[in-house]
Amino acid sequence: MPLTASGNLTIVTSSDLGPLGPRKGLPVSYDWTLSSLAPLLVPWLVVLGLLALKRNRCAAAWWIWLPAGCLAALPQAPLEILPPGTNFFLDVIAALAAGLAAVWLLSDFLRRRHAFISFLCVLLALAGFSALAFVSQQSGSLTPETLQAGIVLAMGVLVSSAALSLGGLVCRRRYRPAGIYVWLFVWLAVIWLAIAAPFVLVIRASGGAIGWNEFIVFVLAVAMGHFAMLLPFLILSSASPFFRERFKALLHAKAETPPFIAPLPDAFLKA
Amino acid sequence: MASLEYQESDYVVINRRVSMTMQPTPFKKEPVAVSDKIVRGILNFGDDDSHAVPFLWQRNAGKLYLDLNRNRDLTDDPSGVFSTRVTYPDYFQIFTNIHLAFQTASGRYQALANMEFWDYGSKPNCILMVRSFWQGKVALQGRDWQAGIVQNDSDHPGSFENGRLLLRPWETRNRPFNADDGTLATVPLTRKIFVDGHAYKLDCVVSSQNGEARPALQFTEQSVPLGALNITGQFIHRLVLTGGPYLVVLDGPAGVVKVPIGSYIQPDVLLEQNGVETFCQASQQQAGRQISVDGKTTAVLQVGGQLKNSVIASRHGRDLRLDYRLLGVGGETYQLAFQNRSKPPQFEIYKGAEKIASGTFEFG
Repeated sequence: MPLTASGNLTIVTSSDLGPLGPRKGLPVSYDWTLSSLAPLLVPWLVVLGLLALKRNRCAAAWWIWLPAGCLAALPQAPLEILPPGTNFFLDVIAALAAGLAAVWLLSDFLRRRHAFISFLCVLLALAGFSALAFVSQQSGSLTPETLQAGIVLAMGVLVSSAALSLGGLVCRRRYRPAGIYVWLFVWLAVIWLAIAAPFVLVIRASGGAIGWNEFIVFVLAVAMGHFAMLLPFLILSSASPFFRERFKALLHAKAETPPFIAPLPDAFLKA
Repeated sequence: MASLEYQESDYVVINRRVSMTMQPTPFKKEPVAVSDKIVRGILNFGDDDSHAVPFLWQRNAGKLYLDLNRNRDLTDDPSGVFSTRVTYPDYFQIFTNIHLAFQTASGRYQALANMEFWDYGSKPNCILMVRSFWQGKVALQGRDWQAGIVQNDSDHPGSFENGRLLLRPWETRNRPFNADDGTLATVPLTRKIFVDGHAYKLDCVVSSQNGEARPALQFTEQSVPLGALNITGQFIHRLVLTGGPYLVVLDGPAGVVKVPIGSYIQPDVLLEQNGVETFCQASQQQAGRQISVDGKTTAVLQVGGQLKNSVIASRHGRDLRLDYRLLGVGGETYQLAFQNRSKPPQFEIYKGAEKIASGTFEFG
């Protein structure tokens, strides 16, 4: 329903019943009350609060709204982006966007000496802020779709955190944006494969006939979708010097060292 | 006594899922595999192991091998090899004109069916689409009827007791029917039936002729106390009341009719007018609603037309969910027998006089 529609609505159905009845149905009244916008704003108020932290008090930090806003706006888009019945994915994407924005703003605090501890900190922060955003979107009762979306979100959080940490581990000695992009995609595919493979093995063992080719294509499609969701944040981390340094620090990556230039011998200078 | 003849049809009369046991290891002898996309197992037609049929489904080749002689050799059944056109993805295939035979206590029993196999990854499934039934002519109170039995071959092959009773005016005998589609050509097979204003005891007698099972139906008229039932709706072609002392079949009831005294559950109803059919199945209605017919007062049953389009609106989070309903005079829900899916029902939402949304309902 449009966010502005509220009050007493009248719904009229029509269908050709031939001689069995009139085409136009009786009007049905429904009292539609507007959902409170306050819960929807909660995660973004939290992001606003994070921008008020001392380390984020600069204009560059406000660029975080760009990737977060793009992804969070998807559920409100009037277009049919996904097939009917899978629209809950948009809520998952919006929740993850809020979580990623929080992680990007808190990266200075989440970085720890050991990469594994950093991974746990990222996981907890991403899980906490994504869950907050997700719950605030669910103004109705718990439905099977909500549960389904919750499970997908939990998996998305785990895979995102693990792929970021593993990608950083591989690129820690030589950080290059293209390298981290490639490795992040590779890890996303590997982790999704590791999660899904046991299910496929069980299904095949119980007589199911999922082909390995179809399975691999499916996993690659999921990994690509997941990567596309992370991409706006990665681009921000490449384009903005402020976020680039934070991202590198979070991944425990060292800056690419300039080529070593040996000092010229004195004799050469004298000549 | 109406002796029933075996009849094959070019349409499906009943669909039932067949229980399947997967076979991890190859059978004693198998045809050469063309790829690794093989599903092998055993189709269990009921609890009797002697009815089970081993099978091999080669998805890539579009082939189904049935071990019709049940010796676990799938290469020596020339009439058990079926082919279908392979389309991709090959998750779903239908094999046609399958003749099955089961040995029962009353003799050999046969059936013609199509088999629908599908496997979307979790577990293969099979639906038996039966295309044969038993039928004959019976005269009740001077009127000819087509009476017959549609068997549940997926669960109790050869057991006529668990089937559906085909009962319709003889002149409509060539009309295709399906026991599952709500058009009420068949009703549950019962021992007590009330049809055309008369009560009957119904017996199904199965004899053996040349080793073949041969069923017959015997209608014996009974005397029962009747009560008045006022049916308020229009366009009722057939109405079936169950849950009472007799299974009541009313064809074209209008106004007050007489039925055996007793308590019935919500009826199955078929409406028809100028060739447009719609039906209401009791199983989809509100449970617990009872119709009590006694000999003193006239019971009222509000079912039938005129029909009206309606909708159930409910809130799901930020979404307003609309469920289309086609309602009868008593608020019962109908389905059109032949739904034109290219013209789905439409809706319009108004706030005051202003239309704020409109659209069409999606099927499903």
